[in-house]
Amino acid sequence: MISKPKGYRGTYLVVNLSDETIIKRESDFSIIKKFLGGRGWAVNYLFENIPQGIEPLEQQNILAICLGPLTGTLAPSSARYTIASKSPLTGGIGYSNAGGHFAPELAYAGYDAIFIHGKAKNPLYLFIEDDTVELRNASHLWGKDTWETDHKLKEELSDKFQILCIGQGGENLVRYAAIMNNLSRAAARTGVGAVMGSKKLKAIAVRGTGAVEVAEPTKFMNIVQETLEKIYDDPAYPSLSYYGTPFLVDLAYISGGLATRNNQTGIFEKYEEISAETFDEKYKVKSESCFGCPIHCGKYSKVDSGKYSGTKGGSPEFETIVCLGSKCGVGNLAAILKANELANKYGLDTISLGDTIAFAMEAYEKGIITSKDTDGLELKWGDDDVLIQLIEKVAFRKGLGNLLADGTKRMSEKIGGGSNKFALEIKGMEPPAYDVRTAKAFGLGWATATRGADHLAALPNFELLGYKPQKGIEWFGSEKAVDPFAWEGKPRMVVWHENFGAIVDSAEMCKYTCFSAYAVKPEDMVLFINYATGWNLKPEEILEMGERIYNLERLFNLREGIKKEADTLPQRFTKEPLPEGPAKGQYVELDKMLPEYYKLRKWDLKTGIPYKSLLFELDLLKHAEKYDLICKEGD
Amino acid sequence: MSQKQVKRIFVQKEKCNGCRICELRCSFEHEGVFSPALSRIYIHKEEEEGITIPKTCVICGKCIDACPENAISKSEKTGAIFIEESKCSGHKDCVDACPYNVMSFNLSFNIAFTCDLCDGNPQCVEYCPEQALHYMTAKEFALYKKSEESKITKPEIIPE
Repeated sequence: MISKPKGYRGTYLVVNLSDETIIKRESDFSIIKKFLGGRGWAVNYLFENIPQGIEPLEQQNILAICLGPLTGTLAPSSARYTIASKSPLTGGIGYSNAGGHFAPELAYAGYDAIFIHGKAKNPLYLFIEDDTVELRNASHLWGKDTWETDHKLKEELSDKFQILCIGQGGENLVRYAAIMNNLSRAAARTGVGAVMGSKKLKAIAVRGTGAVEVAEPTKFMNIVQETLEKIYDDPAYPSLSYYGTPFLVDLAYISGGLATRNNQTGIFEKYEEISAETFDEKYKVKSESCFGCPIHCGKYSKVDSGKYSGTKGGSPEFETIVCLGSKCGVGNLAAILKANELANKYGLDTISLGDTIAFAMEAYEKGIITSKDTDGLELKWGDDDVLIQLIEKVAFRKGLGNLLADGTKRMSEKIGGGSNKFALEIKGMEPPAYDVRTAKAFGLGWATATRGADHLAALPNFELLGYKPQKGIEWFGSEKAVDPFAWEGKPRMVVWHENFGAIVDSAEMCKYTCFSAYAVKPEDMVLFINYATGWNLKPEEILEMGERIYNLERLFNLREGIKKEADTLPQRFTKEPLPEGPAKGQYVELDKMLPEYYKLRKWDLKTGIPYKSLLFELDLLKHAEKYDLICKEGD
Repeated sequence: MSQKQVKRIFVQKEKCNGCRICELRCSFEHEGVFSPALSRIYIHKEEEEGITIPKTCVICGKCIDACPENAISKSEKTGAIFIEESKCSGHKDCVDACPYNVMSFNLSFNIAFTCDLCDGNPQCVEYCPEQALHYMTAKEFALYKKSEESKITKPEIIPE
């Protein structure tokens, strides 16, 4: 057994809600050295412990919360955690990643991970105060929203506790329910909140007074200092830091990809009303940072007048402004802030929520559903009253909300009428904000992402940053790699980003540090990991680790029946060119990119199964053999 | 050293975003580990209202009066609170006396601890990404607050 390196805490918790047992185990570093931590460790645990073919909302599903080797240190923006389960939205691998202040608190309490099995008879919450770990009654919290839960637990325990919890969305098994911490930080995607709700686990309250040590403190602090300087020197830093992600609304508008009315167009006539400038002038109060982050893209905002007066809280992010705003035709930023506040309180993923509402609005526009199906509501584009009412209906699964709560794919299957043509989902999950017809690497990344329509699996920002063509050749072998409208060079770009991204998520650093400023590249990341742990990894070894994690997610999906055909885009992005604006005529040339992507991945072109030789190299052969997922090159 | 010349840490709370880099840097500087519980500075937060206020020693001296062992004095070099560890017997009277909750207690060593201004080079001030912390005399801070330099500048939305 490999002895505990510094950086990690060395202990993890296995909680079984069915028999209310808690076991403390020593972290197994022979596994962690293969998967690093965070997302990688979580995915491996799920692969090995979830039986094939279970329903995601059954008690056999597992909720895995994993930290990384840098959690709780001064490594910039390293306070994230991954929470993973089999997804109730896709039926495949589900995971979500959030910042805030929860992860470091868990590290200071002394734990690397929590694996939650089973299902409680009555609502429970998990109490962690350093060595003391208990399951406690949460009946008095059930039915409360995430803010009330946070408030109540802090009142009962102490305001020094960090609270992770679900709201009514998770309790009512909304398939895209989020898990929230620090009121506005959401592990939102893939429906992890519904899994937590199905287990009747309301919250985790943690307080840690311990310390995290690193193996080589002086070298560690030097690389921290160097990285901070790189982040502060990045040209995009002042904007991301001051405006937060809302500055991307402006970027999307300029490129002609500001998703509008369920992506019918990329030009939103009310753009100015939802722009970063409007947000800053009217609503932003101040920045609100995750733990240890020099970027602090989070913003605290407030509405002081009008019908949404009293609305307050963290952000909204770019994704939220578009998905609950322009995609629904809503150009009233105060209404979007209110919608964001409600989604945070109920614990709902603002992306899937907004997208499903936008889908319903288009179905209504086309007459596939009528006011008979909508509890009398007229689902007209841009009606903010309807938007707000629908969010409440979703959280409590009332009326039309019951249909919306299952997501776009299931709703489209139910209402039929050719609605699948504009049902925007991949593998069952709804797509993020940026219209990929104006960013082709993002388009490929959505299609290949293991958790469905997902901008973060690859997050190939490289194509958007206005780099010189020479840099495109150096990094990805094509001068066109720097042109967001071009497809050339993008398969290589996506593979690199997916592999390194898996490591970023497993080290639990923020992708904005790694993929916005490219301040932390593999050769830098390896130094953070080595100086924290005392290991001697090489950059190519961590990239291989990332490739291993990505392929294991692929294997998980394949064993659950998600096949190559699911690596696709809704036809709106491949067959319907953007109708107007600077990107008029653009669509995603997916058929040109996918074969090259599979080739680079060493996946079989016909079946999408990773070749045996690759799995051998990545030490994943046993994982694949167990489920007969073996494909030899040339078969 | 006259009171007017003494530098201490001043806080611009409107600039603080609650990142707690100061807490991490402080515990590392003094203990060689990352641990907010061992930090001399902390961020008071009220998340629902968006409130984040750095709290650290303002050298009011109430702990000096409270200590039954006369273990606490002011450093001759910096004016910071100085705790003679060999004299501290863990009464915690200083912790109770501190109006700002910035006299902390190390349970492992049974001694009180608070900000020592890093012997004149406070690292929380160095590392604050927003320049929300300032190591100045009262007069310097009053002048700074009036200067343009102290304001938050608004950048271009889309950088060149």
